[in-house]
Amino acid sequence: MPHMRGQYSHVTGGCAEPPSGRYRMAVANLTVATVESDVTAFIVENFLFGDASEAPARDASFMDTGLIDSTGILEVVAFLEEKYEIEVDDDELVPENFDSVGNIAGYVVKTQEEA
Amino acid sequence: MSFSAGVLDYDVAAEADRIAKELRHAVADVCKRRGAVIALSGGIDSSVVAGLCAKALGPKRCHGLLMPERDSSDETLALSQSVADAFGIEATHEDATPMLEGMGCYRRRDEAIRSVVPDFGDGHRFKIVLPGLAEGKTYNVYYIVVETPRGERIKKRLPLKAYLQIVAATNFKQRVRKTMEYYYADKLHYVCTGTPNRLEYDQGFFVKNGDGAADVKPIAHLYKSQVYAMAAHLGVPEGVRTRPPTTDTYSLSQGQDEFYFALPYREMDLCLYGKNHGVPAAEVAPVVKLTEEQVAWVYEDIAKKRATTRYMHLKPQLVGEVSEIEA
Repeated sequence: MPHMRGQYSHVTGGCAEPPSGRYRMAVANLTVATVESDVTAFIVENFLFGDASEAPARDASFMDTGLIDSTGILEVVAFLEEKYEIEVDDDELVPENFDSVGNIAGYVVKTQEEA
Repeated sequence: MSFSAGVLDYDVAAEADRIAKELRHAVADVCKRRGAVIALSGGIDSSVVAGLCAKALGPKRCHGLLMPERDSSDETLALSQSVADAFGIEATHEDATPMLEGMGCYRRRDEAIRSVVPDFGDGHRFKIVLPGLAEGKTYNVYYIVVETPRGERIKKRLPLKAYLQIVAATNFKQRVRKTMEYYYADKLHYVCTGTPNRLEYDQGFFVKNGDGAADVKPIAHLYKSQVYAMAAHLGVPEGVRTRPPTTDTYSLSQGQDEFYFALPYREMDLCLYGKNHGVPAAEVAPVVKLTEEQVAWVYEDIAKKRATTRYMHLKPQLVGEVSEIEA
């Protein structure tokens, strides 16, 4: 069953809401390679209708290639928040964290390590 | 010659004559219609288009529509009527609220807002805003600002689904109005006018098949500062010319610069002109009282908005040739 935002009880032992402040849950054994693979698969399915031959290189800038615009970034954020049960703060929503597959993977893994 | 605010100066009277001539050609020869319908919002752009149509076609060949709805400002109707009166144009008041209620505009919109701000309801007002220049390099993602009945303000980033539903529901407003405009255009055998200025047209600040739909767009080539100069030349009422640009779409008062453009229109015009004419950011910066880096950011933002709204200008995409029609 997909994780629903706001339904925290199954990961917090019965607490209906996150205790306080930022809530993050570490996903075991998350590596940069795993996130890159997940994100690339999401991009191929969601933005390219399954055409893997057009998949972006890990360092290709979404802004430069025009593959993902601001609305697209919101789709990526929604994917990451559901997949890895994280919350992306407003000040984290910057190109340094989101403008390529590699940047996203680096951001997600770093976020997990800080959790 | 160095860059200055004077680059937007132009011979307003000569341009008014040229537009009038082109309008007559577009309506009579190209579209083969007998007049023009103009939706009057009480804003500067539609008022100037009304004045130009009256000049080009004669007031008796123009029909104005006043279509405020529940969230419109209290002054909208009177200002719109004052424009019709100033140019001697007959105008009809068609309240858009019942149509919008019928389509579920407000209900669908409020449902999306409540997914982000659960207490949103009667007495609350809201608007959606983009990060501005002050926020630095970031994405153009929208935030919702809600004001509670007690005057408290809540600001939250809109997640994807809520953002798309609020925009989709709100776009009913422009599309319902355009549907009514075409009713009058068909009934009178007139064209339907579109009223974007150059900033709006270039940056995709319109609703596709809403206010973006039209048979003729007489001021799409004029920078907004030039539209104000044209308004003074044509005799647009003072109340319209001194009204700050507003979207008049959300219940909480909202300037166009916080909703969409990075800067107030005068500075935005100059940055757009500078970018269009290859003027280095360093030359534009002192004129608009920004740093070179900030102007470079605005240049980038202009390019981004152009790219993301490109689809709004496109005709339906065919996947096979129909050369007899496309020629």
